Amino acid sequence: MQPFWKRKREPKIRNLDKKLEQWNGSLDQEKVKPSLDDNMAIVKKLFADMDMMRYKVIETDGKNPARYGIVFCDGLVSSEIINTHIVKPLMLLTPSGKGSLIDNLLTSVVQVGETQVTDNFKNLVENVTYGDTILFADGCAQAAILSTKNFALRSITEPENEKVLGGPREGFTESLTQNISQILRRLRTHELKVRKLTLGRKTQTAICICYIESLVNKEVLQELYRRIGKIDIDGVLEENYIAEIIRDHPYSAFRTTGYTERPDVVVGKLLEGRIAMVVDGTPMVATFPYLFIENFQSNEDYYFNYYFTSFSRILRMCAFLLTVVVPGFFIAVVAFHQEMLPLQLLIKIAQERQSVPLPAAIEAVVMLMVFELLRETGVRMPSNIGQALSIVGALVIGQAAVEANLVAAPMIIVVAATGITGLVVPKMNAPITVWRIIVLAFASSFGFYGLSVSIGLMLIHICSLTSFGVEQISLKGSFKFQAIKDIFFRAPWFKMVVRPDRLTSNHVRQSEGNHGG
Amino acid sequence: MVGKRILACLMCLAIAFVLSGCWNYRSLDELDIVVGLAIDYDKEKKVFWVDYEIADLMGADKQSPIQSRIVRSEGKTIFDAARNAKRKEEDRLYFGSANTVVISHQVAKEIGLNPVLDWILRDAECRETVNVVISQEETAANLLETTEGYKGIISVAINQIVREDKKVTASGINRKVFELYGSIHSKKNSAVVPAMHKKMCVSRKIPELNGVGILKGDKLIGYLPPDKTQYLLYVIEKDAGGLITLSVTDMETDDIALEVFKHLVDKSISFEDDKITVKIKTKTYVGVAENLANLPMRDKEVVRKLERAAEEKMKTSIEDVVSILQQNFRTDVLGFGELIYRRNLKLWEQLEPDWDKIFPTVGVDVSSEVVIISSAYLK
Repeated sequence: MQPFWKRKREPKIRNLDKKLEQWNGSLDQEKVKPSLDDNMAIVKKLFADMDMMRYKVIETDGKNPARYGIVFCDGLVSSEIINTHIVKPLMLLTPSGKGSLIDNLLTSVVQVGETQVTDNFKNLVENVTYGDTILFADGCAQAAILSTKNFALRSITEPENEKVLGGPREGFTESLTQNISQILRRLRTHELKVRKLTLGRKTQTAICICYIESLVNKEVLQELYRRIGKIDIDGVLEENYIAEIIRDHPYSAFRTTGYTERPDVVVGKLLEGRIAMVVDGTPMVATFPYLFIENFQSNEDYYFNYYFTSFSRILRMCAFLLTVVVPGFFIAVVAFHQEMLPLQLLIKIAQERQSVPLPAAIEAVVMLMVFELLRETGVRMPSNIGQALSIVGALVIGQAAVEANLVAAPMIIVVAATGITGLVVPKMNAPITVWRIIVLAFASSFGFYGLSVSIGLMLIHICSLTSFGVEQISLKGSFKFQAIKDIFFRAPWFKMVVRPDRLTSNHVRQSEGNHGG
Repeated sequence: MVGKRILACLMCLAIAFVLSGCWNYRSLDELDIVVGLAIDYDKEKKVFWVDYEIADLMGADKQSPIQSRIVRSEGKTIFDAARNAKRKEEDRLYFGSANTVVISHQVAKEIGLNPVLDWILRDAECRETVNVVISQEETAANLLETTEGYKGIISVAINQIVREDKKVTASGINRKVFELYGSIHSKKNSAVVPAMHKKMCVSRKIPELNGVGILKGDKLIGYLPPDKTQYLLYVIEKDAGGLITLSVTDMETDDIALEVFKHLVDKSISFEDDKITVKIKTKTYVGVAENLANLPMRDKEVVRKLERAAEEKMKTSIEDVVSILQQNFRTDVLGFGELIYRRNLKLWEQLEPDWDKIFPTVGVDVSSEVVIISSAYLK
């Protein structure tokens, strides 16, 4: 057998597009037939073994006897609309007018606001599975799509993972229209554009791209459309399906697209010239481009006093650095650079380490894994057995392990500090997990040398990140007040005169100096 | 292909981690933390005896203060002795946290400090800031030996005593290894080293700072008692503290104590008619700490008189110390050579070869000023 690096790869399937057409294309060619019975037979064939579909044929006599067929999916529709505004008029009223039969039906009989005429079965299938009703008329080679949607929806609640002490408590839901309505309500301008797209061959998920015309960076917008246009996927269930495909640096642990569950955050970002992507079926809304500092920003920063929120933001940044560096730093000091420790501390730590079986580096890895396990359990477990977890976590790990001299107490403190600080910036959990391990590995192999090398690598990586062509960290080195007003501190609102210059060319947010009584 | 390259890089990295896994790795539980050393010399066997005070991590429980134990080893040189200690000890000695080295008076007198300082400065692990202390006991190890009932680590205590003394009692002078090495190898001045002995305190013998040892070159030639050391300190060190006690009435003990808040000293030289004179000007800001004589401190005249008395005491005491150093020890711990070198290089170049002979003849002119800035007046 050949060594693995000489083995030839199988040729890639380059004619993937052709195959996809074979699988999906047939429905595109299927046209509506003039005969009602033919049409009903096709629909029944398409939805064979799908027992939620309802088929009904209506016959009227009188002057102009006619036959109509309606098809809808139970559970997605409002039966009241179908009964009183579609079936009843069809039975009682006679269509009149100059157009085709189906046009006449829509103008003079059916009492539904949103309608559409088509002869394409693919179109019909997409809509009937989304709660619309199909109306066939015998002798007409077209069909009408009548909007009768009525889903069970969750009500608007405060998002669990983005809670705030003050400020709006509304969060997005799974309904696209409801989410859009929450954005529209906050932005009553004609400049707000909402472009609707459909993605996912099987899920046909509706996606809305929202932006403010006068603020958005057109290049970023075009790039977004170009990348979305290239997507070919069978289903989109969440914003991340798309965000992960279209983002820059797909293999980086750091985020290059933003997400939020809060309409106020989305509107705030739109006002800075960003683009929002609302995906049907998920309360998560993606925003582009994403700057590195957004990892540390919170909507509360803008709602509370700026002294307090500036302090909290610095805390968040320190927490990120600490949670990445602390385990590595501790190992480097304890295993390589004991000279760094003052005598009393050195003796204390050495005393603790005397009777512990594992070397410090391995102990750190084990304890970090234990903490991550506890955290993961805390997220996954049903909330009513939380007590068991806290007992196991606090008593067994915290106390028993130390008393049995299996783990040194300083290590528990280090791991606890690492864990707690890691929870401060939940948006960065991925880079934290990855880089903490990298830093720990380097530091426990090379001491401070490895620590500084790994932190340097991380900083270089962060500085190289872009989001839709926009640098995540600006290296232009401008330290003017307006350039840094929302980085390490949050300037008071009357000083936020311009928008971030990397996001938009329309800078002026407010006329200067309009503060004070 | 990219995939292979990445794979190759990953493999290299994995090997790098495995191969370098022990680069300088020192597990804390395999170290004996040496806190202090005592150095003695056995004349008959011609070997150095080195005692190490080691933090005893296994003993006692976590609540009580950490105890220490003493390990002794011998060797032809000091480092040889340090290496030989591994023959008795399970773990290797770690000198990175040692803060005190006690040298026996016998080593200091006969062999000199050089072998000790040389090793400490060359060794990568030892710090250059280790405090040097001369033991006035029979051996250096005596100073580290614990008497019964003593809690804690003696080297730490010695280090603390020596370091904080200048500000509090001003009875000793703290010298670190690098400072000593600097003055020993310079012709311009000589060094002093704090000296300690053991004294009965209630029921046990504990180390006590007892003035300084005077060095000539790297060898010990004598001691200066604590009360004399104080005034040496006022000449050669900035920011010395301590108490100046006076007697203004005819009581048997001193009845006024002045606490030194701030002490400034300014030295200058004049060279006239082949006669070198060093002017020592001191300015001391003091507060009245004790007033057993019941002087009325609200009276400005009384305060002025007290200041004059204190100035007189300062002046005579400094002159006393200077004359002891010039006439008895004949070694320039006052730093006059350094002063001439800085102020008048040409003169120093002439004097340098015979400085040892010239030093005792240097004239000294002391003028002192004492300012009472606070009398802590009690009604």
